[in-house]
Amino acid sequence: MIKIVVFILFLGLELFGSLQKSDILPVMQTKIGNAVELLQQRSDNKEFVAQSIFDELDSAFDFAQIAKLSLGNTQWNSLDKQQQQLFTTAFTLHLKNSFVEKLSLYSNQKIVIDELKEVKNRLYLNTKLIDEDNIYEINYKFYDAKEHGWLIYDIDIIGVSIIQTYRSQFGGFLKSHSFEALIQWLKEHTVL
Amino acid sequence: MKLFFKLLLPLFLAFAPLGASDDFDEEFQEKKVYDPLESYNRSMSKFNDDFYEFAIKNILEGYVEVTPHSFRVSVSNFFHNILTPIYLVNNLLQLDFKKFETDTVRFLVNTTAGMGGIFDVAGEELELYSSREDLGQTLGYWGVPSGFYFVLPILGPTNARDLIGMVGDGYANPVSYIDPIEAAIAINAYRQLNTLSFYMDQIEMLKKDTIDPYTYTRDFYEANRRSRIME
Repeated sequence: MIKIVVFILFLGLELFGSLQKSDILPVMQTKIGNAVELLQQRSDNKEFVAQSIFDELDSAFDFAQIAKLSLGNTQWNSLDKQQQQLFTTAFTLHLKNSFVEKLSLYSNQKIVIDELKEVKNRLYLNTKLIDEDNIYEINYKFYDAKEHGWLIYDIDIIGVSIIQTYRSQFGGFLKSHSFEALIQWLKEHTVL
Repeated sequence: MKLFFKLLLPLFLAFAPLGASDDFDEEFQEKKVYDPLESYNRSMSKFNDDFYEFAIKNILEGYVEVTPHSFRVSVSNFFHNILTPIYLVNNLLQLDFKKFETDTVRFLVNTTAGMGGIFDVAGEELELYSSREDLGQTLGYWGVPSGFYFVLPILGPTNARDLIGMVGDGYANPVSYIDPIEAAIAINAYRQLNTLSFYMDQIEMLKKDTIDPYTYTRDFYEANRRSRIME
């Protein structure tokens, strides 16, 4: 029991240790660097690598915001608090699961951190994943979550926002299916 | 890890920030893709998926089995190198002399030190990367709208503007001038197959990971093209 409490406290400190604007570049450089090193050294143990990367990067993401934005305002507001919580949990699990599966695609590609760009009231951390056959631009988008510091609310992969792709898919799905069917789909496509 | 995901995740999400939603609405305004041929496009996507599943996939698996990864990378490098005239023409049409210079240096270095383009010396040693500009992007750069979304048999997603661009780029593609035309088609098909061989795992994940693969592919294609035009 004590262990669990300590763990939750540690988790809380880690989660709410806010990232300031000037910290984004050096902190993300370290975190992404550590994640790549892990991928290169422990590619045999996907579960361990995934957990370690979550430990490194979780605190930089605002998963609740990501879930809300992915569903879109109209859909989100049509749900009650409990349903919103249910969706946020199921979607976050799905995203993480999807990330773990994609780790197997990593094979020594180089990751270069380009710059931190200010776009209106957002900050975009532009990075490049350099593969043998292509270069993929991956941009981490931060917003000012006030007392929680700067947090990632979206990622652009080769110019495509992951929020936008989920939003149009969920919007289309919910035109002909119920909210419960969406939760069911998310659960069925999450194996963790 | 399972304990964390199933029990603790909901707990910390309950205390997660979910800060000001200020202008997120504006940022994520729906960008409707003009898709008047959706019914045809969905059918053609289904045909292409089946064609991939039952024909192309087997060929690719065999190809990957018998060719080392480095060989396929060299094939890819070689084709990118001989397609440089397309990139150069489009750099000029967009008046982008910086990219023109980079693509020219890449071509010279890779053709000589890279042994006819099979090694990407310019990318690996000089960190000079190809612009891969095409006529669809050039038209977009000068304000031509994308037009209707269209799924080509076997080749997959495009739109009216990129379709015109594809035809135009054919004139700057050295492979198009190979005689007989059947040989040119076969070489282009091989190039496409070789490229696909790098993306087999991604294709499988995409199928598994998306709730509506048609919408996902369509929106992804259009968003990616928009982003490349703005680069």
